[in-house]
Amino acid sequence: MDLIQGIIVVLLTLGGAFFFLVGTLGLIRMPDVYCRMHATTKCDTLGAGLALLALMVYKGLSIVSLKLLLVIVFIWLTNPTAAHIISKAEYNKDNGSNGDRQNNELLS
Amino acid sequence: MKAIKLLFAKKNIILLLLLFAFWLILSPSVSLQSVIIGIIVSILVVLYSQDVVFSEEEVTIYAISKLRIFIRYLFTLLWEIVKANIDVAKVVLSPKMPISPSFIKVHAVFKNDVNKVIYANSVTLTPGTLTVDVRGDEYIIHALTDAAAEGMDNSILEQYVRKLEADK
Repeated sequence: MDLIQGIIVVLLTLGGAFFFLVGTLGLIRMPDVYCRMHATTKCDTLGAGLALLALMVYKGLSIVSLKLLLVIVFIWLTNPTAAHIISKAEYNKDNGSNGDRQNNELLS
Repeated sequence: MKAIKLLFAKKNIILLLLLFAFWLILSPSVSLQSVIIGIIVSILVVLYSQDVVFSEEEVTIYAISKLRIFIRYLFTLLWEIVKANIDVAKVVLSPKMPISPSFIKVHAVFKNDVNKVIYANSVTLTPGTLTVDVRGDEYIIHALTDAAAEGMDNSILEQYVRKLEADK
């Protein structure tokens, strides 16, 4: 039983590490901001998700697993929102006046 | 009297239960002391956040029937996220990097803001697409490949969010 659990933990951790690697590579290789956001958001969600899932399997059924599940939920809520804000800032910068007006409204 | 009635509205009760559950999960041990403190703090937070708390009409998933759809939707989303990651991983790792980035505008009418947020965030999480901005009913979406751009028309996620919003 312990052996199976160990194997699952190792596989999940490797998967998480793989997706973080892909996200980082994408960040370096992609040509512009939007494409980079694609690489980082997609791979971070699954990378962090798998890493935390590995920890959940490692701890078994306990309150700690529940806390880790909450961490996953919050990462998956905030990650797309942050990506959206970054790409929106870039989009407004590219498209000039309209974006500036919106930003001023937000700030005032 | 009316104020007291308002305090026992469904939205406040649900918020209170959610906050209390959150407290219980985060507290290191469940004892009488921590439970009492949790209830008091939850009530204070609910009282304090009267102005910003979502109303029932805004959060359609407060209804039980919608909750079932929402859970099915979550599993669909999970599968889509896995597919998205494998797709992006393939694109990043292939030496030629076959990308054809483009902006597309998707017209999707959702009446309430929470559903808009759910839709926009799930678009960001799914294959090769990234929500850049929402202006009215227009979603400005950045697509990494042509295939991803084509997949945005009446996607399965949009159908699900539409179901969340529909009346019973």
